[in-house]
Amino acid sequence: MRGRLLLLIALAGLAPLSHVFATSDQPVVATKAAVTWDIARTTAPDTLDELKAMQSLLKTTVDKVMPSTVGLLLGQGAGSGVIVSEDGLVLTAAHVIIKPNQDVRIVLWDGSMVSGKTLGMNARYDSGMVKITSKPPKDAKWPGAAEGKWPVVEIGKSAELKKGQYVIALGHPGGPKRDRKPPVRLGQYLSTSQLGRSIRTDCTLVGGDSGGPLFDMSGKLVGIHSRIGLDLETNIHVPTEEFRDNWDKMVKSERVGQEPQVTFGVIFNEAEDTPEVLKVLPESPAENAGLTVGDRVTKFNGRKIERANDVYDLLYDLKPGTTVKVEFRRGEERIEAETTLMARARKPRN
Amino acid sequence: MNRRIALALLVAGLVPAVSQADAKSKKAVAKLFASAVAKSNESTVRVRAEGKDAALGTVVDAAGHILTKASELKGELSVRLRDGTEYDAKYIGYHEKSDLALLKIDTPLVPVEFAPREKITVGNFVAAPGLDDEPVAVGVVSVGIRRLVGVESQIENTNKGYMGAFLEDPTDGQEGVVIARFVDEGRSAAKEAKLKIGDLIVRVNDRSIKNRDELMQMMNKFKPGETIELNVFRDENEMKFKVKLLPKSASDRSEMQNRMGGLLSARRTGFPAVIQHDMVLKPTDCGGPLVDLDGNVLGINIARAGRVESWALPYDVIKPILKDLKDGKLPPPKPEK
Repeated sequence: MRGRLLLLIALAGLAPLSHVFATSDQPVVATKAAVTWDIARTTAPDTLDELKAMQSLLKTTVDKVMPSTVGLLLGQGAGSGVIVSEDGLVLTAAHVIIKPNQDVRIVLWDGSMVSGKTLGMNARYDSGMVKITSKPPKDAKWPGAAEGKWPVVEIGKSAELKKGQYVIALGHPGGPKRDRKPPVRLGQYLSTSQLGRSIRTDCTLVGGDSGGPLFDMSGKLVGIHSRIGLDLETNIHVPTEEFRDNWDKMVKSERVGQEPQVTFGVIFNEAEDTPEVLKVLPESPAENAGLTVGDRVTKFNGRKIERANDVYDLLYDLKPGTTVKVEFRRGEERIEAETTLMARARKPRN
Repeated sequence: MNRRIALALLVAGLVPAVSQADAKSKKAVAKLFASAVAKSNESTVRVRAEGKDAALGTVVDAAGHILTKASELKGELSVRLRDGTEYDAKYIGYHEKSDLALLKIDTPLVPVEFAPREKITVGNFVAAPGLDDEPVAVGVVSVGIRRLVGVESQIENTNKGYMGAFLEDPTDGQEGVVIARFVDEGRSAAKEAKLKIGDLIVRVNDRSIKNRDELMQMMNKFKPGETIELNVFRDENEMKFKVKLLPKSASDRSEMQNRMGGLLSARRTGFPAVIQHDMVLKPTDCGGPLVDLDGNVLGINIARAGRVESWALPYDVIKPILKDLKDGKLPPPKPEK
């Protein structure tokens, strides 16, 4: 180990020497190019220098985007958000704001508190907006604070993410906590859903993170935290395209899409994208239909089921009280059952 | 504060996820850490309890003193070194709040050198050295030194069985414990056993209970799935109930989400102050040093605290405790019968 360290120091020492050579008549000596981290890179660092370059970029980026990351407090609920315009527009998740035109308290990264109102949302894809109505605190230090400007992040394009690209999650896991700035988590982008309305990373999230920002390594916003699956690799974010497509409506406090009115009560195998049942919620229509862990749903209300999200997509068109036929396989056995769909719990999802 | 924290669970979710996460990337980073952890490797040991891996340990002096995570220890203790040799360990001292235990083995060791707190930098890569050349886990510093507040500041064994009820001492000075209310969300074992609000619990498994503190103490010993028998007064009548205890996650949504994604440390709250990082650390890999890419030892890993976080005790916290532990001011716990 000592040897390796010495070698690095020796390399660093070459730089001024080569400079001398370059300005003399001597032939130019190849210098060791400064190692940088390419934000679009999809593979892990190969050398210690690359890892250090990535670390240095990560720190710079985190410092840059931290002041734009906020906590949101609504009634008894707590989530996160990120400021994207100098006049105080905040992007968050629909299930954080619950509905338009609600009073919301906004916790800034340094713990100070300001006020705001919820704007529009798309409950189907879990996007939402908030407007800060207060002026920046008097002691705020970011550039432009004195002129009433908020610290913003640039909105990037989630659709341009490549599998393996490194991403950074900030937010307020467990809700904003005294004496804790938004915790940094590093991970990689893994996939995007078929409809392009949700993306998946292994940046771990937990309750309270919802609405918080996902950044690429340069600090461009590439997602808003939405939900999690059973494993550490299933962390789901709303892509920025969802916000861009419905921007004007959401700014005008409109509701763009609805959640399904009914619930079925199954967690399917997201990781392998199959309709294999991983969990059945207690006292749900799925439990009433006799579904258990390991079953594979093959038909739902007369439609063929092949993927993890097929059942969920069908729920949008169904009303509470509707009786549906469910067909599923248990090993070699084929089972048919009927169950009555229930209304989604009226209390907000969290 | 019992705030509802927002994050939807993927119930019949939206994403057709593809392949597993690239675990290779973490492996690659761990490999690059080999030189940075080379020095602290010499000061990292494996602590074993009753012949099983219980924790990692951090060597704190040349005489063979080792700090480790106390709550993972039980029974006969031994310490395994990098060269495979194993020594019986003597339990010297225990500090409850930090969950640190001081052990000693009879062989000279290489102590760790802690770095000053200025070296703790948010966004820096960190690793947990083990007995191999490559560390057992890698991650980044998520939050610098922070105090714990609210429920995080209270010491609790979260792997015990729960009744799912809020309990109070009776206001009229009677002996026993009153059921004040049931948990708001999820399942309540007490409610499922047909207990009612206002019931006065006087005996648990035939042992009389004087007050809430006594009951809570006793409850620490039961595991989820265990059935306990309660003697209860309701409207002057003594009745018996069997309560099958549930895991905390059954009634606590935040707890449930935190458990999604692997094992957590049984003792994971109540520490004086912590450095927060995003390593996925096994509970049995706590107790060893936390090291950055420059080889700085920032503290001692003390808990896998949740789905998104692991915690280390900073040296500032360890230093005064270590002195008291060495001076014999903090004796080890008495062995349980």
